[in-house]
Amino acid sequence: MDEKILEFAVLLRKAGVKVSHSEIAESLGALSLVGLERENFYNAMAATIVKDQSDLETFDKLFYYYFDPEFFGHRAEALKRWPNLYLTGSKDRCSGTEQTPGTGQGRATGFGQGEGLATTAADSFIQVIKTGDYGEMAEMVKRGVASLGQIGEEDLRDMKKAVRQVKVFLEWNMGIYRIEQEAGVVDESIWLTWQERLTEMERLLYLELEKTIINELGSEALETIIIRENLNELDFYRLSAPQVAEMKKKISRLAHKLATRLSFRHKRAKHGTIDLSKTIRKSMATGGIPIKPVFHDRYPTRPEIVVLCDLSGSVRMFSEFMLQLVYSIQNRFIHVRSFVFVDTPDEITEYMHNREIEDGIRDVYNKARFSKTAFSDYGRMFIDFCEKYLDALNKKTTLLVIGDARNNYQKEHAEYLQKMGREVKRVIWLNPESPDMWDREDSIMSVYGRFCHQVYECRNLEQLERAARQII
Amino acid sequence: MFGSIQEVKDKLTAQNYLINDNSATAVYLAVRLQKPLLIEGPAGVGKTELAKAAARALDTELIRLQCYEGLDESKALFEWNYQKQLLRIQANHLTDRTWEETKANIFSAEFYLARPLLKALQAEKPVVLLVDEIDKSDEEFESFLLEALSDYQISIPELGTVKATSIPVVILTSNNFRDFSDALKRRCIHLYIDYPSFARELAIVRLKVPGVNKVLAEKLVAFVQSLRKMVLKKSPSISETLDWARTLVLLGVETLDEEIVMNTVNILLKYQQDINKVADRIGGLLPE
Repeated sequence: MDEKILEFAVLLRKAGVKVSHSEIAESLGALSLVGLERENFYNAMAATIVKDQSDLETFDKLFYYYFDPEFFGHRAEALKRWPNLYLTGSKDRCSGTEQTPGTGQGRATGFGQGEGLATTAADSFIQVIKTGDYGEMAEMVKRGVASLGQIGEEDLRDMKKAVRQVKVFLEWNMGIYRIEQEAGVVDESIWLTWQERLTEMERLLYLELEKTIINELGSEALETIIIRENLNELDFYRLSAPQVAEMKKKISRLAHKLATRLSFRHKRAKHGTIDLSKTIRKSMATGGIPIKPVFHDRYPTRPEIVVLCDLSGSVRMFSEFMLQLVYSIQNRFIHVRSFVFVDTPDEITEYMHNREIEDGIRDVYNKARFSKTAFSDYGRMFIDFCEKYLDALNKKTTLLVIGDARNNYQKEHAEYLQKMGREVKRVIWLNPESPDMWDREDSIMSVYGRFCHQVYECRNLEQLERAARQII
Repeated sequence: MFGSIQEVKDKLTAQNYLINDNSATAVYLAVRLQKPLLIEGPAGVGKTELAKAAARALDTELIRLQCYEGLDESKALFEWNYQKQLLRIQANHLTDRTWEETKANIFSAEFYLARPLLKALQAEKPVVLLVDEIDKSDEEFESFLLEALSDYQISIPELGTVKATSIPVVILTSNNFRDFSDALKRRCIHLYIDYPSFARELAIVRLKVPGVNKVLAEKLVAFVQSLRKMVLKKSPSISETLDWARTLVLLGVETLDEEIVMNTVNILLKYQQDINKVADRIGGLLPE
């Protein structure tokens, strides 16, 4: 058993969860107290090993895969030794029994038999979402994954593709589309429940698919999958849908951390320039002799920021994260102005100001005019920016450009970036591609990089955090 | 002390605190392994309440240390009773004691004030030490706590090392205002208390607000549960549900309708933006 737990801990570390030796020792101590009944086993492990709520998801997942008899299937004696680790099914997070009005009539002919004749797959999908029966949800997902047939290595490599295939089979998006059409008619509380179930369904799908892959391809696959769980080091463009949601949470935590850390650091340091008037006033007590100098309080400088985000295909996800980060720590800046572009810039400050970030981003896509041709054109964008918005820049601003500098072989017009650079305090470029991709194909990072004070590679959360610290 | 997880559950229930398996396991482990229990979770889900209930269940004293920015050792650990020391010096001044004698005298146990931490370590029988909202304290204080938490002993320059006479049950609570160092986290058993499920919240309401009838309780809990699914600045937590239930009982409300909810929703929601958001959809959110 000790061995299993150690191996489990090693995997957890690979997934980016910090696990120390003392914690492992503690978990073993805890297990000897509570025994090996699965529920207790899980609770004890979670309490002693997971110290950060955001790691719990990863832990849950690995626990589900690792302590699964099927995974140890080929080691049957392991199972015999630890019969208590039977699988009771994952935790039922949905309040499953609740009946939703409007179902159960007409097409509720039961699930799974009519596929093809009476009901289409989309119908049964909607049905499942509406009733929210956990067993049926799991069943449906299982059937979807089974439709893939033989699981191969390419499924592991490109899981998104496999997920797409399953979704096509289940007519998933069709179902969502039809459910969303109903959204306006049904009660808000029901709609919220449906949404929750959709998320749950998505989660189940990934769980089932990954589990099947692991059972098929063995423990190397487990390792690959679990490394992908490490959100801190995962490339932004590789995130799956549930991971994007998780990432958003992480970013708001990061924002929080940046905001509070700052106040801690700046409060203490009290030396530097001397406050002459206060020093003289204080010296009155000692007969006009200044014995102790008084220093100026140091106030953290609050920079002005102008963010320029590329919203074209590949960079989009990262730009949204960055916007979220910047706006969650808005109060740290005097002023944030933000612009988005594909080939022409448009200001989006108004959409984002004091709003829910999600609403803001939705408005950006609906209302902002940032694309004429749908192909990135940095040169054109810089020209337009200089024409329309040059007054947004001044000597106090930090200009933050977010993009991959892929110009579709258009004219570079770097002189306009240079011109902008002269107006501001700093120009920082965040590139979500790895440096060995820079200057390949249509990327002209180094052309623009010359006119930036700093260029950061910013592919994952860890690098984002580092860059953010630099900026603030 | 608690003998089993079931016993934790039973004893806490007897103290009017309903606990789930997950939390009960963590409490049981913390007590048995003599490790501090770090409880995190949104405000108002009963973190502090758990510590209080645990103290009552263990039939022992609760010593509470409320953290805030600027809290230092002298407030948390011990302080010399400066005034009393001065008095002694002055009193000695009238007699013909030597300075050596006086000095030896004024740094003795009589002249210090034990603050919560020291009190907990010196208590005759194990107490429950609640370090509340530890996220509000400074990082320096956190590292100072580490010594106390790892070995249950504290070094005081004038007195030497003080070892715990009995090992207290330490409960730390946090609202995630800031992150803790890994060193602190490593030493603790971790428990995250989330918003309760429908059934559990209903049970809590019925237990804590006996005046509420079953139908009303179900409806109001269902309403709160729907609210939590929305994206709000501050979701209502259990304490707000309980306040709301009490208010409704006080108003003699028999069943929920839009008007009553709109008039009292400010008990559940603390931001105007949230209230506006809910007001738009109130009809759909109310359970039939």
